[in-house]
Amino acid sequence: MDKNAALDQIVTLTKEHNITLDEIGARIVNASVKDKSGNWLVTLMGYLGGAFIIGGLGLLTAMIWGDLGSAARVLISYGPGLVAFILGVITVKDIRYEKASTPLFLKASILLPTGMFVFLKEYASGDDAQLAAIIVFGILAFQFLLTFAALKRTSLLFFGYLFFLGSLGLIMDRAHVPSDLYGISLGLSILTFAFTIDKTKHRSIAAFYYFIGGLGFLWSSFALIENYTGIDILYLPVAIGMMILSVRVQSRTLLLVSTFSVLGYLGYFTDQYFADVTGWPIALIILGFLLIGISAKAVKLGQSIKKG
Amino acid sequence: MKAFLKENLVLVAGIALPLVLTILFFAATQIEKASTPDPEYKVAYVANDSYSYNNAYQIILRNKQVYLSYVPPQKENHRNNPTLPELYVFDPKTGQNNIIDLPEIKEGAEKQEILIPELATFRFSPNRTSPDGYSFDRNYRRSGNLMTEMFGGGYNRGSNNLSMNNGHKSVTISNTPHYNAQFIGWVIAEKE
Repeated sequence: MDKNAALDQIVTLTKEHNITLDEIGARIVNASVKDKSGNWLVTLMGYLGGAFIIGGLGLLTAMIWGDLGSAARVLISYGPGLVAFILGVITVKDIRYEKASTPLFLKASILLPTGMFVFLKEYASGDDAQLAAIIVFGILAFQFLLTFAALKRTSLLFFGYLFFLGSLGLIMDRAHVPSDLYGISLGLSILTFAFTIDKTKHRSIAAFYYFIGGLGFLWSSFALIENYTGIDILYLPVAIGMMILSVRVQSRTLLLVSTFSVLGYLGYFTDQYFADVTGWPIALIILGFLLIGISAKAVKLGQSIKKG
Repeated sequence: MKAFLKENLVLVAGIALPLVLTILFFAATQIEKASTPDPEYKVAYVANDSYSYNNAYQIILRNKQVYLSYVPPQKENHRNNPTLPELYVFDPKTGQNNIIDLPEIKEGAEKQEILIPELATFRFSPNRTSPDGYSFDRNYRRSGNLMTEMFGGGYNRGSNNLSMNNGHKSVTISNTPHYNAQFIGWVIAEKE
């Protein structure tokens, strides 16, 4: 087949499948990038170069910080964050560069709050750092979650929810919610978020939130129950319940957290009630068998989750 | 909207739970604040950051009165650099935080205790709690756990407060952080 015949065939195919020129261009660019990715040294040098540039800019900013006025300080910290955020939005809309959007949103999620804190420090009066953080994280939660509503990018949801948690956590602290209740309710809230997200196309971030939510819930539950001798045994059904839940929701991360929680609790329990009695060595042996049994069960559950 | 709520009932309940708790505890704190009387007793405290128990100058409370104590530093102790304390009296009714003039003690003087003239007519109580139930403390974070450390923000402005009811009712003495502020006593009587 000569070149003209090939072009004719391409035209026929594009008409047949309603393919645009942009889509063909994007596919060619992505394929060429893919070809280059085999060269790990180039990738490594690229990351290193990027790190040096960011590090150098940070160092330069720190060196000239004292000589900068308030407006310049805000511009130098908030500006790059805003630019990164806008570039992130632009790259999402262009499939040739959409892979760049996540690192750009990551950069924005670090620089935007930094710039906003600098703005508050330079222009706002008062010394209430907690209130400042509530405002900053609240605004960023809105910014990221509203953009997520429009663009449906997982990275925007990840950072938006993280900012929401930062703001909500500080508001709860300010409202004097007792620390154990704080941890239990926030942990449960994060778990429900992870559970919901796990059923959508954004499930890649569910594991992180299962980990944070599960850890926070179990940690705080133990802190609450630990204070009441005699009823601290109630923690065991809570932790085992979390193991069962992890199988129900098919989360290996949650299974890992709850398994370690059960193991840690058994260690605490034997130390608390059997350490000073003659049966301690026997208790240790029993604990050893329990650990092996639970680990084996956890591995089996993990395998069933993998299959599921 | 209704369909979204129905579909995501678990998520809605999860997000509503901490919000409802926040509203409940905020309301309870406000009610407690409103029903607790304001502090009435003046408090004396020392606020140098470098002030410590082995300083040559000490502010002491003896027979309900405040003295400046001086113990000459030992010559072989090169690290002992005497620092004159900064003594304050805070009046919660007016919000005034006055620094008190201390008597001069010449270098090389012998061990002595001098009644502080500006406070000579005042009588102090060394009790940790004032007669109306307030205590002098730093704005430390209350005890926390993993979640409060992650999302509670490590809140510590370092301000000194008069507080009651587990910090729910508090009056800020000074927003300038004094990491080594030490309580001296409550002013229980002022004779003019």
